[in-house]
Amino acid sequence: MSRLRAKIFVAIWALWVVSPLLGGEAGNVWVLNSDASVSKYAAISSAFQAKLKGKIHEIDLGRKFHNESWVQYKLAKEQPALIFCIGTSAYLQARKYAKNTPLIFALGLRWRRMSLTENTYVLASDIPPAHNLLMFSFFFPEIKKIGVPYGKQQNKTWFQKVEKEAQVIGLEIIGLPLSRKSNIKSLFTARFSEFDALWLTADPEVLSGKTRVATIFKLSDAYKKPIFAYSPVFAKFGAAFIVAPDVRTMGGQAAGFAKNIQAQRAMEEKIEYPAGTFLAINLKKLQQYGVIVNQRALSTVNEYIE
Amino acid sequence: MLFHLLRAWNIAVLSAACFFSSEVFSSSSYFLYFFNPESNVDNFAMLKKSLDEYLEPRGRYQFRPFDDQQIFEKAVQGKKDGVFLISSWHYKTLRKKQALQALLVSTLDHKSTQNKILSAKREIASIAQLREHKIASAGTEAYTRGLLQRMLGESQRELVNNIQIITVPRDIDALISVSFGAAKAAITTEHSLAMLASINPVLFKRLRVMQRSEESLLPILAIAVNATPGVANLVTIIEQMQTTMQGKARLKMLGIDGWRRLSQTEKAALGE
Repeated sequence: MSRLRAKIFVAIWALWVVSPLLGGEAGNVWVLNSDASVSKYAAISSAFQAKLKGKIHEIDLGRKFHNESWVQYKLAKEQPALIFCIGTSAYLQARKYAKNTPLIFALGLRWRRMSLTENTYVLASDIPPAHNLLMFSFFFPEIKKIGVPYGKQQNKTWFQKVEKEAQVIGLEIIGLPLSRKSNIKSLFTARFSEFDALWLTADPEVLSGKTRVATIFKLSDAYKKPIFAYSPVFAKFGAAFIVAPDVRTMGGQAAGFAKNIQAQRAMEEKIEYPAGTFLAINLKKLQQYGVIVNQRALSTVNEYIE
Repeated sequence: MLFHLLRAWNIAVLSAACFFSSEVFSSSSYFLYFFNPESNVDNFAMLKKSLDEYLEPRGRYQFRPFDDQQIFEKAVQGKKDGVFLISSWHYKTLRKKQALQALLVSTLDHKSTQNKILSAKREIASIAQLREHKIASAGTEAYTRGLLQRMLGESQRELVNNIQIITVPRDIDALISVSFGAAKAAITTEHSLAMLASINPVLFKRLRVMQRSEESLLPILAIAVNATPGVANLVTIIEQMQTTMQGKARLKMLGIDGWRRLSQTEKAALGE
């Protein structure tokens, strides 16, 4: 009898050890997370799951056991009704092994250049330009001219669109077209007097390397022009104001897509932009540059950069 | 000589004992408890740091924010050591569960009341067209649905249950998201809508006001009816925040700019 008990105990223990490797309980909705140790990936997943509720199964591709073959096997076995893909790696695997499944794709930086399935719903990673411009005019009512460096190879059309949107808002955009080989110092130095602030966007031709980024910030500081940036990573370089997507809101929006898919509701748009923003401000820098800040707007700031 | 030395020693020891015992045994901590589902404050760490920096030099005071109604109510149940900063509608329900008295009402631009506005894209002609569409709000989902229900009436219960709520960080995000199609409508304060009108009249004109809520008081500062005596000092400190630059900066982080004592009419409106 005691041998039987020992065998039962070992069997239960073995199941307990092995079951995480099998991915645990099957869920109708999957979250395929490129790497749950990345804080914004974890935050969007958490917000998504809080809004959607019900049976949700999260797979963290950052874990050793969750390699591509294992994901392929699990997808074939469990056939989730929909998959929320966080990050590009997650989307690429879902696209490869579950191309007929509705996929919600978020936090993929270069989604525009990727081949998307017909069943893909995208949460873009960038705030629409007009949303940024409205925030600038809300916080800094006296700033009317904004310099925007952009890659002349790939972003000319984008720039022309931003120019028009800025006019509607009552701002003037001064374009600074450049390439990876442009001399930043001579280009910017000649043109700093034309604008009140500089807006840095996620343009790889502009931000091609740490040295270049540091040069842009150093020059702006010397000429007392505040830099408005798109990501909190620029706080340490000296950004005066940051408008970034609010990841919790995005998680809620992804849950909205999921609910519509589950209810088989037709959706007007397959691409949504982040509805919420994360705002950070460096008041000390703005004061040094003599920039007037709308005091009423300060109650809406998420973070004060020190 | 020895007698005098001994007497001096005894006096010194007794004095030290009195001093330390009064410091250690009779000083208590007092708290500013905060919960407001009307605003999507998600950076409590920053708010707490800033308010603690203001309060702590003035005594044993701390700021305690909450983002969940149930957790907040459980935490403050029976508490006599604190001041509660809560929305006026929540005060009305909370005072039924524990004996509270409202002391101050917040102000913004000298006003102590607010209206909430449901605004939508201009092409939305009726509330019915919002069925199954998204409404952006800086309040929690539960608060927003309850508010919509009160604004639209019982006859629209089914519609309200079929609306999707997107929670965004701030009113201005909600209004902008309507302009760019992430939501069909937004619920914001009238103050925020007026601010949009002033910063961007073009965008403001793209919106239509669908419904206005009844006027309600801004957040209330309340204490327990049998609060411990030390709470009164904390109330004074909070009331005086509006007189200093540092205090005003913290009030702005809470979305207000001052306080005033409640009138009898206002107290009656709160059910007092």
